[in-house]
Amino acid sequence: MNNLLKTGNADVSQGEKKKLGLAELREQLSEVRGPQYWRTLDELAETAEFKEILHREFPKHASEWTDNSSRRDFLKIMGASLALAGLSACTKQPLEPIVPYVKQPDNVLLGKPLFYATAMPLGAYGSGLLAESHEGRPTKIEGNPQHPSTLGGTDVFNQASVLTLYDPDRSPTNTYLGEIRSWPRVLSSLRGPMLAEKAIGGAGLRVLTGATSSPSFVAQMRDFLKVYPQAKWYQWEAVNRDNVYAGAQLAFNQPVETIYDFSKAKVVLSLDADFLSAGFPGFHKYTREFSRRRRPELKQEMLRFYAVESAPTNTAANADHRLHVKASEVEQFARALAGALGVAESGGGFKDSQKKFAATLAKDLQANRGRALVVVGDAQTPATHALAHAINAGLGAVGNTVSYGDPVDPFAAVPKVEQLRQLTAEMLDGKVEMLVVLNTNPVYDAPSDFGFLEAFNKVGLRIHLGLYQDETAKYCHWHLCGTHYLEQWGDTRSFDGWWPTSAFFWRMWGGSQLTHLRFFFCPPSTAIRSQLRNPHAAHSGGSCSTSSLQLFPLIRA
Amino acid sequence: MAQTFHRSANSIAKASILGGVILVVGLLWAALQLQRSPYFTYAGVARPQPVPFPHQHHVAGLGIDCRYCHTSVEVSGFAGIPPTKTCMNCHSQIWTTAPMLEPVRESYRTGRSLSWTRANDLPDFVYFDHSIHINKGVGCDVCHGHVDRMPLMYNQASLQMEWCLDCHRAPEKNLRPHFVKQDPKSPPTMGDQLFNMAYEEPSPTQPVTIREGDRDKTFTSQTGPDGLGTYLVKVNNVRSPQDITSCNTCHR
Repeated sequence: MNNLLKTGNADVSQGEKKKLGLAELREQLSEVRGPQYWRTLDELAETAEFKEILHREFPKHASEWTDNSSRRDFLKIMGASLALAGLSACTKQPLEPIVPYVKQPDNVLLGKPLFYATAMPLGAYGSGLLAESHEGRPTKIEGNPQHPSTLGGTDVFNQASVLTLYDPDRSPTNTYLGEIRSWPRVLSSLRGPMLAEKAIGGAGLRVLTGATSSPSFVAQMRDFLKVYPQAKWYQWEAVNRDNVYAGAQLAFNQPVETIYDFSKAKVVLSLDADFLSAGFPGFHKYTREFSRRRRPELKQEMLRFYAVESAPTNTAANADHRLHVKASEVEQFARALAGALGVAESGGGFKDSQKKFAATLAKDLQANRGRALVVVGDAQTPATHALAHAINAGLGAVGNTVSYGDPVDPFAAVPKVEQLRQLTAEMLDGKVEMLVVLNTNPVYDAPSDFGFLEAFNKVGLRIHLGLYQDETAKYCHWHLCGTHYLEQWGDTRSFDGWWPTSAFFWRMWGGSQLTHLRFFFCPPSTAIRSQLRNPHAAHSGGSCSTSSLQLFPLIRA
Repeated sequence: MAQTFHRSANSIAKASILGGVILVVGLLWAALQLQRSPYFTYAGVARPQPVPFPHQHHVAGLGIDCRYCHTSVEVSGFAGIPPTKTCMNCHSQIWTTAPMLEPVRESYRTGRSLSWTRANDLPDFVYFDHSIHINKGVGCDVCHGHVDRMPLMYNQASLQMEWCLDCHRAPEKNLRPHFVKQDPKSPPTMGDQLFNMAYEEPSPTQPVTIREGDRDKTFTSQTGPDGLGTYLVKVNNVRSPQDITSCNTCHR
């Protein structure tokens, strides 16, 4: 490289870039070998900038040691430093404050945790849990063994939720166009627009929330819509169960919630259903029941599991027999299976690669009528769901391994995608003057072909309430910091209809409870108040009570 | 040829080597003694507190049991410092305008806790659990000293590891029974002897009698094969010194 620098053109002035053609390059490189080759193009060009960088990074004489002290002295000093390093600990232990409560709450034993029954909502489904709390701070989530839906289990989302509570990236304050606003300021600023909307019956007011099954929230929104009759409430959830309810619609003419009972099943077929992974409604109970049916001492009575999966999943890993198909091919498989079982008109046959699997499967299902079960994944097409309903009915599973109930999501009848599409259309038309977005992030997860953001920006006043200053908050005028489920009262419904309530812990940021915001929009109904006073529905602190109430009429198909 | 060194260089050399060794050892010894001294350990030294709370008046004078304030000592690892409300239980009615108690009243009024200085302060890498000590029969004053004679709270002990190990190596030295048979001639003592600051270990002149089942058992010594401590080690299931001096008992 040194040679190259020396042979460089002497007439290159500071800051002037030399043009190097291929011919010049070849000429330059014709004489050099080995370490004299250039390492970067800049080096080859010998630009002044590169020389500057090179000088800074590898200054001349940088590797020379001109100091008089020898290696011996150096080692002496280093050795002494090492030996004396421990002296830095020779200090007095500093005085430490110890700070008790002013009024210690009942039941709190310092040093011992308390367990509170609570419920975590994930979309429209809630799981009953116990939160371990140290002096009012939830530190760990445990399962609630007394809860009939979760049976003492938790999933990854439950465990991680306590970390979300303490996430330093959570938004700590309300902002208006990026500037901090206190809660009184928020309420006084919004009062004007709300009164204006009230005058026109809420015609320009829209509320967008995530999927929710909280009976108290639903009741409050119903009251809200009574006060603002022209306003509309939309729900958007990116990972939704639209297809599940659409499939039920095809099969039963109404959306239903399908509940599986693995404890009674002998043969189970999964059509791309990941029911042993967190996030599948009923995961806690299904995992427990499934694993109880897989114990080796059951011998012949052990559950046999066939999985038709499109991706490697935890569920498929448990399968005795596994078939890999593309997700788009599952419907065809289901059709063919329905035909083979004589449940529906044959819509085609199996592919050659599937024939062996399908033959065994069909025989097994037929042989175990009344104890067979077909589970379909949420993301599959409505037709696949409907076919599975038909197969289950044909195999006599209904009432045994499958039961149906009212949908947990009270708005199951209208697909979430449709709701968002409607809202987007209204926003584009300019019909929406004020939009309140609660705990959902449509700017991030709306389908990209909706053009959601463009429509969103047309709304006059946009208010966002959430845990984070996320993508939606960025495009809203107001961002209000939301509360985590561990910081607020609330309720939710589990996959089989139980109604657990969530406990209230120490509030992290002083953000308003979601209920406070709703109270602002309209006063609470007496129905909610009485429900909260009901000892069965309300949380009882300090004991591992179930605190839930079953409201779930079952539909016999 | 003339010697480079004078004759005395021999003795100087020997003396300086010996002196050097003695100096280094002496410095080390001095450092360790300093580290054990109350300057470092605050043993016997009252630390600054927001309110000059006198245990002597409240315990010896008024007869308040330790557990009235330090409530979780029998069930939790942390004994507990009383919340302001505990003080106000009485001091909302007595000494209501005393200037000395103004920080307490202010704390109760404003809702801001009183910030006491921790007297019995172990390093954070040490795990200490009160309840196990109480349940095995270690009395309060064994570790904390005669709190009922302290006008201002201080540590009696250095709370250093060597001090803890001193007992852990021979727990029978410091155990006492919960209930003893009262000698009708002496004045009655508090019920649970663990919280009795005036408890005396059994000696030939002052034996201690306890009830075992339907019989009385009298002890005239604390340690030794017939000692009360040795008996309690067995009865209270105190683990062997080998177990309780293992590192992970306290350094978890």
